[in-house]
Amino acid sequence: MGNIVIPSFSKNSLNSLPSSALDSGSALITVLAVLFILLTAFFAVFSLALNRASFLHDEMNRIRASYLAEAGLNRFLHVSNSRQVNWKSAAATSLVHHPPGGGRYDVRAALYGGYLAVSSRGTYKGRTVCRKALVGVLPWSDLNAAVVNCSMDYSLVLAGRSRITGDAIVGPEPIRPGSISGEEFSGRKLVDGNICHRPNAPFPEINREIIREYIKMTKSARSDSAQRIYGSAIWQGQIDIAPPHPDLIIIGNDLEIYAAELRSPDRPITIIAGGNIRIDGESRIDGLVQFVAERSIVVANGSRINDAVLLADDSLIIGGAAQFTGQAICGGRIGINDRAEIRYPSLLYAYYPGHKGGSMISFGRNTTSAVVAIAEGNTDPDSPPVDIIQIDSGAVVKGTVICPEGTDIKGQLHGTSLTGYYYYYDEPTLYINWLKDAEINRSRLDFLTVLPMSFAGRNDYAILMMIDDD
Amino acid sequence: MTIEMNMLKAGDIRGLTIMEVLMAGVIFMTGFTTLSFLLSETLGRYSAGDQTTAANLARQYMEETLAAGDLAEFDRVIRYSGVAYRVVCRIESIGPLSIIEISVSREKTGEILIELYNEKYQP
Repeated sequence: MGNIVIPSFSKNSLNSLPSSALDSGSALITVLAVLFILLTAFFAVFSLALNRASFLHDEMNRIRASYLAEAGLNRFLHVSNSRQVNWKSAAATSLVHHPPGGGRYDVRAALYGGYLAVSSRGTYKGRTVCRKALVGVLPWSDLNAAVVNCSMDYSLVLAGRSRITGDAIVGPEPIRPGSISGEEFSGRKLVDGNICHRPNAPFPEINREIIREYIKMTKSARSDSAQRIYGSAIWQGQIDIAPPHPDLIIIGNDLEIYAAELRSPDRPITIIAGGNIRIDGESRIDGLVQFVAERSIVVANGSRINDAVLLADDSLIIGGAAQFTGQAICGGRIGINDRAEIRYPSLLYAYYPGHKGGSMISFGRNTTSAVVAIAEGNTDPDSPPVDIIQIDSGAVVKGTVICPEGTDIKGQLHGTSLTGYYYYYDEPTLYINWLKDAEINRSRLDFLTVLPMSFAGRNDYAILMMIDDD
Repeated sequence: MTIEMNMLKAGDIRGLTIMEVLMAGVIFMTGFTTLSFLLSETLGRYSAGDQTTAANLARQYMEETLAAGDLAEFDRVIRYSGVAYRVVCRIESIGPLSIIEISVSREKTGEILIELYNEKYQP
């Protein structure tokens, strides 16, 4: 084995080489350098092209998966409507389909408030896109009218500046003008539309089971992985409940959310408080967040809530210029007050708790609401009919307002009112089935109402809203 | 083995450098040719411009079809930046449910660039 002698390139040794030897070395280095630069450039261009192709391929797979997910939602509607299944069967629906051309979609449904949350996952070559939709039932033909008054015993009487624009479906008694405190009906026509008398105009049966099922399901969601906070809590600033944080938070007493931001666009979060929940100080809440309070929920001071469900046992107040889009469900009073804005698609649902006086939804002055509002009504024949919906003077409600008991309208309703009777209270007199200074205008309803699935025998399902989620 | 640089003569050094350059050239040309082939293959298969245009055309026609009240099949040739694409829409109805398939291919070669599948429920 020979020895390796490492040459030492001292100045003297380099000088001892002939000039041609030095030139040859530089040629080699130059060639290697050029080779290196060219190969680097080539690899850069090559990897860029590959990356671009890969990105493009991924994007195209995403587009395919997205349409597959949308197809799943349409298939769900088709299957549910063609089988005329009830809400329970619809909620139990599970579809998997492999269309020609590759890919697949699978669809699942679950109760989310008064609607079904249908989740469709489209998959194409490993890329998955999930599309969610809230599904409810289509309104039936009666709800094309402005007024559906199911009172069989009392005439509908209009007084003051009352206006009904659209058709009216009433009992056998005629609609007539009247006077309260000297204010006679001032309009030219009683109803600017057709009047349809029905010998019996039965109120559509409200299926009380669905909301109770949802409440039971939500409150019983006490999994072992829940985060538990004993006592009360105040949340401020950015609230992070993304994984690995649990999707169920249980607070022993009250929760105050002040000047906070909470987003959960892609997974449902449930927050249960043993006492009250207050959302205040311009807080922002976006996504599928369910707030459950054993007592009351207050949303105030410019707070904005999108897509959430508020569920309270005793009372639920939205005021202070707050904006709300979602579902508010309460066993007591739901109050929309003080410049609050309820945006479509929203549901206000006051259920009858059984042990209390009744349920009530009130729209205060200077509020605007685009909603479906339902007060379930009292099933106990011995207790007084205190289940009511009130629209105060200065309130504007767009949508469908349903109450089998009493409805008190002094403001504007752009849509449909379906009720047992109207009432007007002018101390000391309670006028049964009277409207004074009420404006009900069906022609100003400019969106398709999709009702919650709370009406027995109604199985025409439709999409209320879509929620995209990658 | 013993290497003693200062023992090499000028002629030896020149010869060795030429050999090196030639070998480097051969290696470079081989690599360059291979990479050129790979690159052209890649770009040919995943032509970004073609794919993007095809995806946009497919989406555009899918949205138009979904928005249309009456669904209708069609087969049309669209020219975009001097390239002709064939857009084919097939519709199959199962009662109120319509299955929509849209494919975009190169008119010249018939190669399918993208296929989209959707369903539309129209009660």
